[in-house]
This record gives sequence, C-alpha cells and structure tokens, in this order.
Amino acid sequence: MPDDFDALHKRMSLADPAVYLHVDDDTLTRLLDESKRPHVSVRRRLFIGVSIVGVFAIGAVAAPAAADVLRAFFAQTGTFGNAEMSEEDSSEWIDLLAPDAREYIASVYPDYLPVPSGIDAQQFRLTVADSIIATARTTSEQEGGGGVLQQRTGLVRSFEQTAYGEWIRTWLVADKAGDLVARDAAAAVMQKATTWPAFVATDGGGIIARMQTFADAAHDGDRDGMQAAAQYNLVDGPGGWDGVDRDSWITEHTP
Amino acid sequence: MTALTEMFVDETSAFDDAIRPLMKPLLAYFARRITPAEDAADCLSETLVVLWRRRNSLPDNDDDVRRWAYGIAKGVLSNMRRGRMRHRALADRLRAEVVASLVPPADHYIADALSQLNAKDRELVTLIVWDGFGVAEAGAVVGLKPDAARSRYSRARARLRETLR
Repeated sequence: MPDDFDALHKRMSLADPAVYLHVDDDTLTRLLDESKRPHVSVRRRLFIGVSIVGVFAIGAVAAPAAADVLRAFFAQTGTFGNAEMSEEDSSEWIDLLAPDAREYIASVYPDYLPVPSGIDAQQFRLTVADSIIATARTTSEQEGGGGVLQQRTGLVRSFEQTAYGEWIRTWLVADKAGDLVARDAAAAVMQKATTWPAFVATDGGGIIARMQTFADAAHDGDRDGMQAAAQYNLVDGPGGWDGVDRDSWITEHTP
Repeated sequence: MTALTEMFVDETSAFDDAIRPLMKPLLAYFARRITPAEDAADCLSETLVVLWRRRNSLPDNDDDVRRWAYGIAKGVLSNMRRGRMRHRALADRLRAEVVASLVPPADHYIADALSQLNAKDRELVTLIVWDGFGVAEAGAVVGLKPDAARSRYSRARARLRETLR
C-alpha cells in the first residue's frame, strides 16, 4: 500500500531528532584537521601531573588503598570528569601509560565484586590491569604515540565486565557438569551484576536491560541463552562460547 | 615541496574530499542514536580519528566510502554504548552546537513504535528513513544480505504501521 508507506515515511521523517541539526562548517573543518594530528595534549598533561604528584609516588605501591583519597600514583592526572559533559561521571581521568598504572588499576578493584572459586583474586586484579594497559599501548601506537586516558569508573567497569564473563563461564561449566548448586550460585551473581555500580553508571542505553535478559536465562536454566551471553560478552576459551552464532537470539530476546 | 610532502598533501586532500561531505550526516547519525545527544560530537571526533588511521583502506567511489565510514561509525557507537569512549576536548565546541540545534521529537508515538522493533530492524529502518540509505545499502551496514534486508524491512514497516494504527 504505497499511500500507507508514504504516510509512514513522512511521519517518521518529521520525527527525526536530528531534523534541525545545524553545525558550523568551520567547526567541522577544525575537527577534521585535528583528527589527523597525534594527541600530544594528553602527554603534556601527563608531564604536568608527574611534577605535581611525584612526591607521593614512593609510597604508592606500599599503600594502594590510599588511591581514593590521595593522588598517590603517577597514573592519577588530577583531572576529574565533568558529569555535565560527555564523561561517564566525575571520577578521575587515569593515565594508562604511566609507570605505575598497573598498581593503580589493581588498587581500584571494588570490594563488592566476587570472583568464582578457583580464581585467585590477586592474580585476577593483575591480569585485568595488564589487559587494560596492553590495550592502551596498542591504542597509543595506532594513534601515533599519544597518551591514553580513561576514567576511574571505566577501570572499575573492566573489572566488573571481566568478572561477569567468568560467572557466565562458571554457569556454563556447572550446567554441563549437572552441578545445579554451582549453577544457581552463578545465576544469583548474574542477577546481582545488574546493580554493579560501574555497569549502571556507564550504561548508555540498554546494557542493564540486556544483562537482565541474560540473568533471566541463567535463572531459567536456558543454556542457549547463556551461550548467547557468552558470545555477547566475549567469553572465549574452555567452558565459554561454543562458537555458534546466536546473534539472532540476542536480537530477538533483548530490548 | 619534497616528493614525500607532496604525497602527504595528496593523501590528505583525497581524505578530506571523501570524508568532509559525510561529517554532518555522521553527526546526525550519532545524534539520533545516543543519549545524551551531544555525545555525538565525541563520536564524530573518534570516528574521524579512526577513519584517518585507516585511510589506506579508503574506497575509491563515494557509495563505498559512505558504507565504509558508517561501518566504522557503527563500531564507534558500540564503544560509546559500552562506556569505552574517550572524551576529546576538541569536540567541545561541536558538542555545544549540537545541544543548541537539537529539538525533542514532536511525534513521540514514532519513538515508541520504533522502540518496539528489535534492535537490528530498528537500525535498518532508521538507516533507510533518517540516514537516507537504500535498503540493500542499509542491510550491508547492519550485516544483512540484500534479500534479508528487504524482507526484514518489509516486516518492520508492517509492524510499525500496525503499532501506529
């Protein structure tokens, strides 16, 4: 019915949120030019930070718990997010290429976050920290050698995300082994994960809703749904995603 | 001008010519899909950086450039939604302009109807109606073959009509 379609098309066009979007051409030109430059400003900020916080650095490794209250690490820039702009929240920007970034990242591991039995908590912290730093180094190399910053909340989120993945794996392994106690325990953590603060703080739309879908699958003993969770959350390796594409399950079952 | 400098200028010029016409459409693409919409400025900034980094893959013709650029934009959008986006100060001014020119949609029923579609269908429909892609082209951006895109688009349209009735 072409008339119906034309009417729908017209109505949708009028509902376009960007229908009146207007930006200055000079702004776009500047942005285009800037995109080709290495991001030296971040590195300059690092040098300023080092000169200010250096006196705290010696004690930093011995007292990582002080990270919340003191600028105890070189990795801390002293620059905080502005929640009114695009940042995740008002947490501090952290220099991921700083010499003590590994220690700083390990220090922000949140107390509320459980890891499955069999995983050494200290090793988990360092493995996640190493992964974050490796990614930052790759990003820096790809962008021509500039510094890489991430907000503290983003680091906590990485811990949450990695732990979440391990709980999905735990569920799958327990399910396969017929260990319903372990499976239910993992399902309970997955339900709780929908309230983990960094997940909630960085949800730009639909992430918690999707996690709830996976938590429901865990609770219902839906192995297919849990394999979709493993695929979506990149839970590879032994006991993880079986390699079967379940994109359609995710599309159909999540908002 | 040395041969090397000349090569860089040529490369820059080709990149600018190909990408500049896509900047406003890409900004609108992000503004339609992100909350808050002003984060579209950071997404555009990040997209430009990635496009420049991958300039060796810049396709030859405009249609392919557009598909290529939106494919990268889709990845940037995904990163933003997962909280992995880094803020770039150079996008500050653009962010302010986006805030100033965006208006809330007048027809909330459309937004509600769209929200009832699954994610892939919604993306397909909005790429076609708002971003101006053809059905097959939009399908390529979201990873669908042309026949599958046509069939899904037809179903999604029927569902929208039904919801809005």
